[in-house]
Amino acid sequence: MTQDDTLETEIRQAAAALGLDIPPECLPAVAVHVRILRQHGATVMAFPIDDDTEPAPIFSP
Amino acid sequence: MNDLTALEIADAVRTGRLAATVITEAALARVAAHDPKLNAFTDLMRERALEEAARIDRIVAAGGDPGPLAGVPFAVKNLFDIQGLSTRAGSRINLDRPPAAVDATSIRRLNDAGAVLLGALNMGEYAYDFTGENCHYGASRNPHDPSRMSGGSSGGSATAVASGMVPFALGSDTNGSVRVPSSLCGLFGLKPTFGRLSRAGVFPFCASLDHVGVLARSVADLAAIYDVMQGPDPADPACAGRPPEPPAPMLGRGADGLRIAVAGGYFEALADGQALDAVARAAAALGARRRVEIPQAAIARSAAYLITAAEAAALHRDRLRTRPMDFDPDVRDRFFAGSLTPAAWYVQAQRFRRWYHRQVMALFDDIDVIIAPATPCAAPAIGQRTFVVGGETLLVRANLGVFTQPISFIGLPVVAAPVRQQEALPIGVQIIAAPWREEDALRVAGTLERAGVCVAPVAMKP
Repeated sequence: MTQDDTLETEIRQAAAALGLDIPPECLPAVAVHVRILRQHGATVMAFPIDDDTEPAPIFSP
Repeated sequence: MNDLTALEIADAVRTGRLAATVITEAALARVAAHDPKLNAFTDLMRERALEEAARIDRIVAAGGDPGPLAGVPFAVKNLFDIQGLSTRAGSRINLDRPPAAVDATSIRRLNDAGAVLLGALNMGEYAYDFTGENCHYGASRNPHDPSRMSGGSSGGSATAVASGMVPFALGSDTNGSVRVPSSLCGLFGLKPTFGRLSRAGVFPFCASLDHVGVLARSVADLAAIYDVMQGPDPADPACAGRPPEPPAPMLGRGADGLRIAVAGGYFEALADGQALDAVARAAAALGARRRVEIPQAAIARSAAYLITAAEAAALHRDRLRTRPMDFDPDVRDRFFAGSLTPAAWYVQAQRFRRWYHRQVMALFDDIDVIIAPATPCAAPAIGQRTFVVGGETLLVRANLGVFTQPISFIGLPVVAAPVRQQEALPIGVQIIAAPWREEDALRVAGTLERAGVCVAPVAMKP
């Protein structure tokens, strides 16, 4: 199994767990975008933030 | 007549020198002449436009006040509700929605000011786009070179204004969708502060970051158009309760007294020579020698990317489940990928947004305006999938907004201003101000316009 196949399998299974059925012909392109998102995810998650920094959106009742 | 600004048209109509119906007929004729080649419009509303124009002419004839934008033709990205039309949002899928019952708030306010709606404009599907390409309706083309991208996602808006079909158009800007096409098509574009303009009746993309904006060919037009759309609107929960703050009285002051700096670091590293030259010329004209580094701009860009991916995918989840093959494939595959964004990434991105906002607000303690490139390069060719940014080969569709994303991420007001080119394709700079200080960005843009450094000529011959 190639790395691409492994990622596509992983994507298909994760999507299925979320109730999404990704058509097989879409998987290679979806994998490209998942790789990009993983890079951005790693960039953001590596930044240390204090526990008391609230998320930006505020709800005003 | 195709290169009259909005305010020149309004003045001619208000003083009875030109009838609004004559102006409207002329605009419709320009659309008929240029649109087959440029593909800006998806819905032309000839009858409605002529009725609105006739109403303005009746008010003028009766000695009444037809409004500050009397008889000015305009069009809107097809993301905006227009009564009687299904709001496409660039998609085929949305054509199955019922027609909008009422106009979007911004259209209503423009009509109340006398402006005349010509129709709806092409855009990237569901606004997830920086190119202006669309598999259903074709690409909106760049009037300066129709083989080139208009930029997106407000692509049709830029095409319509740069070709002289209309003097202004509305767009939306979540990550750069007003500023990118403004840069590529050589226009002035305004993305106001997050919450300044009502988004009611505008199909959502990413609620945390969505803004309404304007594209035009003069700074005075931008200010006047923006001004009539200001004000609270309970129909948009994000719209601020602030009273309108008219920018026009301040424009005459120019940039005097404003502390202006140029964005370094991230913004220098990823721009090509033409983009850097545009920034340098704007800075030189303003006498801005100070350089400032916006802290962690690259992480801000990544966080905006994640928030957009997660919120947009969630919004479109049911459509992805039921009719995935009806999407533009370039958009669908990004939505599918975004569906898998872990909640922890999303929350961390929103927490980073809070941190980053604090850091950037501290910069505004002793700076009023920051100049940065608007796009890393001029318009790529239509169909071009990748380009090189900062030495890395990246997807065009997702990365033309590398410089706009870190700014809209915290809702700062920005004017995109086109820097005069000699025989090259247009390119713009971002003029970035502190929250609620649109007038500072407009004053700087106006100064560059008066100096002849920034110009937005009509690309098409009459």
